[in-house]
Amino acid sequence: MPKSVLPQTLAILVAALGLLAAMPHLHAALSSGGFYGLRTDLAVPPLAGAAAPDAGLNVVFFGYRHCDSVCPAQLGNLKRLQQRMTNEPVRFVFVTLDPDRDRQGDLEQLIARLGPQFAAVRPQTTREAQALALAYGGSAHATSRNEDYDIRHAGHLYVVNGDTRKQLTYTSRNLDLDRVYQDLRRLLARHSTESQ
Amino acid sequence: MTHSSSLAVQDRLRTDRQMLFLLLAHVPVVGLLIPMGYDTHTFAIVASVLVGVLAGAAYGLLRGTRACGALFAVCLMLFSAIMIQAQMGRIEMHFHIFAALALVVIYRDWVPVVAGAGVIAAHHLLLTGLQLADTSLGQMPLMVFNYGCSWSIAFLHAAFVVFEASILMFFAWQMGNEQKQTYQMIEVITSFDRDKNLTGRVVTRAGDTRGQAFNNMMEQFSTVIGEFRDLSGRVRELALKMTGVSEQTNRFVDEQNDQTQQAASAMEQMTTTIQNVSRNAQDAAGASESASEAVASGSRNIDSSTRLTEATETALTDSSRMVNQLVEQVQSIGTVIASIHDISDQTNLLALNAAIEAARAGEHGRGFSVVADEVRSLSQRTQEFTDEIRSTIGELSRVSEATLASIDMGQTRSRETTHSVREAGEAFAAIERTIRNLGDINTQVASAAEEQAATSLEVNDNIQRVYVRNKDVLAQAGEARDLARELQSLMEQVEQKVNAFRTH
Repeated sequence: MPKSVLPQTLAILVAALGLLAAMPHLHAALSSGGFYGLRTDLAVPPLAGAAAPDAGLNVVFFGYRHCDSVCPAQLGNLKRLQQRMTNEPVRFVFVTLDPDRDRQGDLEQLIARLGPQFAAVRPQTTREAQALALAYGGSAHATSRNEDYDIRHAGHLYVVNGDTRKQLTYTSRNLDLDRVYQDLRRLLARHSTESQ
Repeated sequence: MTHSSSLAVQDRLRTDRQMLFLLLAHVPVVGLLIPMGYDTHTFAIVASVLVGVLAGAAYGLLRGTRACGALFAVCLMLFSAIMIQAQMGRIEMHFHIFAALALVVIYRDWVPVVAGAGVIAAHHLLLTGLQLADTSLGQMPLMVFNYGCSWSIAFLHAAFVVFEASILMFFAWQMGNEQKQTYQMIEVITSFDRDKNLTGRVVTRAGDTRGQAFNNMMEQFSTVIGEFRDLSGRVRELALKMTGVSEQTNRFVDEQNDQTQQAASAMEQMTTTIQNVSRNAQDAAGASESASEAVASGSRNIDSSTRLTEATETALTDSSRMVNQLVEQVQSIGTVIASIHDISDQTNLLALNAAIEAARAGEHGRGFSVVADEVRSLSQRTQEFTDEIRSTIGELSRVSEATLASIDMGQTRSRETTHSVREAGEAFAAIERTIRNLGDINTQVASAAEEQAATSLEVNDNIQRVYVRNKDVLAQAGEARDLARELQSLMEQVEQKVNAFRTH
C-alpha cells in the first residue's frame, strides 16, 4: 500500500471499527428512551390462556424444563421480579419450546411451584412453539435427534402489554433486576396515565 | 508495464465504483427492510447511513487503491453486523457475512478478504467474550447470537469464516494472477494492435493451460502469418505470372481471332471455289457427255467410213477383176484381131493373087481386079485397123496394167485406210469410254464437290461460330487478365499488410 494513502486508510478503518464496537449499544442509545431493555413497539401473537392482565404487562420467556443453562437463570430472575411485584398487574408467562417432553401436568406443577402470577403456555407442537418464538423475535431449534436433546434458544425476556405489543426485550440473563423493575414500573405508570 | 498497471487501476476504479454502488444499495435495504418486524429502524438507519458515509469517504479518498477494497470489505462486514443487530442477533442474518465475503472476491485480491474476515472475526470473538462475561457496557445488553451464546458456537462460526475466507483468498489470489496474465495478454494484444507485433508472450506457470494456450495461439498465429507472408509472396508472384500469361493468352486469342476471321473468309472463298468446281465439274460432265456424243457420232462416221472404205476396197477388187476380165477379153480381142489380121493377111494375099489372076484374066479380070484391089485395100485397112486395135489393145493392156497397179495401190491404200479408220474407230471407242469415264468422274467430282461445298458451308458456319465463341473467349480472356491484374494488386496490398506484422 502506498504511504500516501496510509493516514486516510487508518482514519477510515478506525472509524469503522469504532462504529462496529459502538453498534451493540447504538440501538439502546438511539431509541431506548432511558429504558434498560431494548425498546420496541411490535405486535406479537397473543398467548392462548395467558393474556396480559388488564392495564398490566406480560413478561414472556420461552424455554423448556430440561434446559440447564439460560432457563434456570431466567426463571430465577422472573421469580425474583415476581416477588417484587406481587401487587402489580404483571404476569410472568413461561412458553415451552418442548411440548413433547413438557406435558401439561409438568407445566402446571412448575407454575404451582413458581407462584400465583405465573402462567404456562404449551403450544400443540414443537413447530408451533418455534413459530411463536420466532414471532416474538427469538429462535429455537433442537441440537440433536436423540432422546436427550437440547434446544438452542434465545433466552430473552419480552415485556408485552395488554394490546399484545412487545415493549421491551432483555437479551441477557445477567440482569440488573432493579433496572428491569424500574422499566416495568415505568411502563405500568405510562399505561395508567394513558388510560386516565 | 505502465499500460497494464493503468489497466489494473482502471479495473480497480471500476470495481470500486461497482462496490460503492453495492454498499450504497445496502443502506436502504439494511436501514429500512431488515428492521421490519423488529422495530429497530432508528438504529439500522443511523448505522447504515454511517457505514454509507464511511464507504463514500473511502471511495472519495482512496478509490483505485488496494486500501479502498479492504475498507469496502470492512464496510460490508459492518452491514452484516447491523443486520444481525437489527434482527436481534437472528442467526439467518449471519448469512450476509458469508455472502459479503464472497462479494469482495471481485477485487481478485486476498487483502480485502482478510480485512473483512478479520474484522468480523474480531467483532464476533470480542462480543462473544463480552456477552459470556455478561459485561454490560454502558448498562446495555450485548448480543451476538439470539440463541445460546457460547465459545463453541463462536468458533463454529469462525471456522466457517476461516474456511470460506481461506478458499476465497486462494481464489482471489488465483483470479488476481489470472487478471495479471490477462493484463499481459491485453498488453501483447495491444502491442499487436499498435505495432503489428506478434512476438509478445505471457509468463506461464506449470499447468497454466490458459497462458500456454494463449502463447500457443500467438505462436501459431505468428507462424501462420509467417507462412501467410511466404504464401502471399508466392501468390503475388503467381498473380504476376498469371497476368503475363493472361495477357499473352489475350494476345494469342486476339491473333486466333484474326486467324479465325481469315480462315472464315478463306473458307468462304473455298466454298465459293468448291461451288465453282462443282458447277465446272457439272459443266464438264455435261461437256463430256456432249463430247461422248460427238465421239459417238464420230465413231458412227468412222463406222460408215470403214464401211465406205470397205465398199471402196470391194469396188476396187471388183474393178480389178473386171479390169482383169477386160484385159482377158482384150487379149481375146487381140487373139480375134490376130485371127482377123491373119485373115486379112490371107485376104490380102488372096486379093493379090486374085489381082494377079485378074491381071492375067485381063479385061475380064479388070472388074475383078478392081474388086480384088478393093478387097486388098479393105484387108489392108483391116490390117491397119487390127494393128491399130492391136496397139490400142496393147495400149489398153498397158493402161489396164497401170489401172490394175493403181487399183492394187488403191486397194492397199484402201486397206491401210480401213485399218487406220478401224484404229481410229477403236481410238474413238477408247476416247468415248474415257470420256464416259471422265463424265462419270466429273459427275462424281461434281457431287463430291457439292458435298464438299455443303460440308465447307458447315465448316464455315462452325468457323463463324468459333469466331463468335472466340470473341467470347477474347472477352473472357480480357476479363481473366483484368482479374489477374486485380489479384496482383490485391496480393500486393495483402503482402504489404502481412509484411507489417513483426513475427521475430
